[in-house]
Amino acid sequence: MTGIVLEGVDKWYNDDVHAVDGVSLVVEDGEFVTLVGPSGCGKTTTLRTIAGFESPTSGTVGIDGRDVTDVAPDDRNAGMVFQDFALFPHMTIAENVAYGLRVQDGHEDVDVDARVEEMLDLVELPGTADRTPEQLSGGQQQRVALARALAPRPDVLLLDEPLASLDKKLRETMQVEIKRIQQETDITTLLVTHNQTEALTMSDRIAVMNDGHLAQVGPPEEIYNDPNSRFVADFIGTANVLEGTVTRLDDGVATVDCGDHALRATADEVAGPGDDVSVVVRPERTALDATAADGGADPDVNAFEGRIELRQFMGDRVEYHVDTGERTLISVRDAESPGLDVGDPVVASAPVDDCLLVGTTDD
Amino acid sequence: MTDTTHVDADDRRAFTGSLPSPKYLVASYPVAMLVVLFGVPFCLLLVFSFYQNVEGGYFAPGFTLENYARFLTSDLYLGRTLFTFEVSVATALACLVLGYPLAYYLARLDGGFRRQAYLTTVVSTLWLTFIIRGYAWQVLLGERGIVTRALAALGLVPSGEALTPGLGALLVGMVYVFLPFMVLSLYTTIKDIDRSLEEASRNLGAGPVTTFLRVTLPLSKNGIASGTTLVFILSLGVYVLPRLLGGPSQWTLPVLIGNQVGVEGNVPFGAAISVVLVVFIAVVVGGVALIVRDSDPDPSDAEVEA
Amino acid sequence: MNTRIRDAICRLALRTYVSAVLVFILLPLVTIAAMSFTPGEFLQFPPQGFSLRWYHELAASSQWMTALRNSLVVALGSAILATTIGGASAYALYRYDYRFGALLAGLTTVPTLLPPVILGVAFMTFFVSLGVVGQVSNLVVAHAVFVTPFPFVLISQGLDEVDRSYEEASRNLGASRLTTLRTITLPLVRANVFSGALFAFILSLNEYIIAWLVAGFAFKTIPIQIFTSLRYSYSPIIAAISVVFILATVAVMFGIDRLSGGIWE
Repeated sequence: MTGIVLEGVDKWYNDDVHAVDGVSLVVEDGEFVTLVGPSGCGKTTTLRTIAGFESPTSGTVGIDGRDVTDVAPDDRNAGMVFQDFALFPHMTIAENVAYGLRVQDGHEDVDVDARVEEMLDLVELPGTADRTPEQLSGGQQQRVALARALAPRPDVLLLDEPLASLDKKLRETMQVEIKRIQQETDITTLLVTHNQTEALTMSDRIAVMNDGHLAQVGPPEEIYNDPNSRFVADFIGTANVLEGTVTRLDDGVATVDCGDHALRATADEVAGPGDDVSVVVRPERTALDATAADGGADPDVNAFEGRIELRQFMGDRVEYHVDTGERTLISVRDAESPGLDVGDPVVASAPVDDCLLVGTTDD
Repeated sequence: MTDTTHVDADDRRAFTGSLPSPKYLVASYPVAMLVVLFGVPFCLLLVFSFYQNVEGGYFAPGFTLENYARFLTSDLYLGRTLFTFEVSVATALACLVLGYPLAYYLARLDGGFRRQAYLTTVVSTLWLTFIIRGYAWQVLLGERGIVTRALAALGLVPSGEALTPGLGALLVGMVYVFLPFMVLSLYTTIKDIDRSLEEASRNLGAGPVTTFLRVTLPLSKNGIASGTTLVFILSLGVYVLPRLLGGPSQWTLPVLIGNQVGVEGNVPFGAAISVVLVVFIAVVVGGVALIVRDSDPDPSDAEVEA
Repeated sequence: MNTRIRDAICRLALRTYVSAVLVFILLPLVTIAAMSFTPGEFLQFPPQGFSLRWYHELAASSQWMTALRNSLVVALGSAILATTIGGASAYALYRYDYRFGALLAGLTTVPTLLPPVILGVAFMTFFVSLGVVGQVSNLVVAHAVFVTPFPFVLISQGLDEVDRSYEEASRNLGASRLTTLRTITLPLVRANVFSGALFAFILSLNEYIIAWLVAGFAFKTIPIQIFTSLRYSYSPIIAAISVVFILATVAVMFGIDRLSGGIWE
């Protein structure tokens, strides 16, 4: 039994908008996968295709081992939480949560009541049963939406940008809550979001989507540390991206001519001399030193001389923008480390191991 | 994401499988009802207009252009057509001139009870049958009516003479029933005009009259166009008021239609006049649509020029 | 001239004018109401005394009561029929995209833009061709078509404001299309459905020319009865029934306004 299986799902609108382009994805039983990407990348259409609100132009959708491509939305047993929650305004909280059970045959009133109570306990909202949705705060509505989606014991849980309408503080609380509820119920979950932080913190695996297709699928650490394209590196987390041409390749280390610099970068992917590539460096993998500390050229470290252009205090850390003449590099240090001021000359350095070579194109 | 090709999985299932698609099932009821109950009667009207009239309230199926020929070659009927047009134009313009200040005042009232009360007053008469409203004006403009007496006291009309039936009474009645339509149409437009535009104009040194002529009036042109067109079209179709407030010389096309069908028993001729009136209205509506489109060029054209 | 004085004069002129128009609107109705309470045989203004005589006579008159019953039956029947047609049309156009959607919308709305007398003649030819004349049910059908645009427009407005995600949430929770319509969509537009039906009701109640042409001489509605009575006399009973109609119309309009949270705002 497998949670969700998408096979070559394609979706065209009006024969000219290719919203979803051959997406194949497997979400294992009990797994939490996040579909993340910029707006318009097709992630919501993909989710709606799984729920049955859109029909794929080609390809198949499977839920819990059953091909549901041509099954009506009400026969898919896929619980969904909508972006605006879509709590029925003319019903109480209890009626909302009970709705999925009531519309199906074979549920005794006592069973329904018990299930409603159980669900409201699960989302930690006991005692709200008789209120109406508009009497609840955004976070509470979110919890009710979850309770309602889970009440009919769906095979899978689909979350469509469920945190987008909440403020930052609440969003962080609900990230933890959704993860807790998902683990307690052990339900196969697919979350759609444009927020990379949500994707990184909540998921077992992340599927990065761009322009209708999946750019990379993997655990959060892999996506962050080992992006397979410039797009993924840029979209998930902050990245310094340097473009250039490979001049030499030896032992998995490429020398890349970036105009003013000859960089050395780790090349996982096969690249040869003459290829146009991008080199990705995470800000926290760079070091900043005052120029005085000149210990000569270390072959395992790329170094850039420059000046501090901007200093942003972030609480636990400080972000520096270093102007190296040709470009601006972003570097992050602990807030405790000795302060550098705007205008100070510095050397920004990054170990070759942390400089990752990716293709220039998004594919 | 676009909704225009929104297809549920179950619509698709229905399309490929045995179930009839709910999409067409849902539409079939109103379509069937309207085609049978509106489309068919309307086509019959057209068919009847070519039937032969038989003296004594009968008609014989057939095809004759006699009814149309009778209408189009008669000075009497052509004159009535012109009169109907003139009365409708006069009504629309009078409603516009009389209704604009009221609509403006209501739109600029700061909400609250007064605006609600005034609006309710304007709207309250909107759907009251023309019969009662026409009857009320018959009484008011009658020989001993208070309006007649008041006007006589002012020396504006000779005393002791009824003002109805007459052209004046008809116009008063027409304006009375259509003013609410005009006021509502203008009100919704003026309410949406940002008040700060008027304040900006005043701030730049324009007086209230200049501000009105240069800012408010041009910005409310959509409401003016739709209100005037609406009142004009509705005026063309009024049967009751010319009957109650006008004499035979103030009868409009709808009265002639009603008389031919309901009194003379000449259904084919009544049907022919009806068709003429529908064509006339269609031409007017089409003309207005053309004018509106020409004066309001498509933004994509403007982009091409720029 | 001083700007402040000029502005004050503009405002005063506008307010005076507005008062005059409101008097113009109310005067006929108030006069009719006042005259309906006359104890005498004839319409008089100002009325000589106060009596409910003509209201009693109205209630006692089988002619007027039959007409009132006909009017109410026709208005109720046509309101229900019009609401089902207009509502189904609105729902279909809101929920789906049809290649000829604009045609359906046009077909639903055009009956109010046509002169009613023409609809009347069309229906007359229709029922004559069917060989069914003089039935009250004929007028129910004719008025239903005439008033359908009102429930259609009001229900369309209501549906427009209902987020599609409510319906999707319902389907997602296992409700069929029909259950969703019954338990989610309809309750959410209930106020619009009722306003639309009330609008249709009041329009049918007040319509004269279609009723007269379709009814022939077989039966009378209140507007037909008033019109007929006006030919012979100005009996204050006409003023009395008018007051009843005015009050009913205003009450229904007020109800519509409450239901839809102020449609004129």
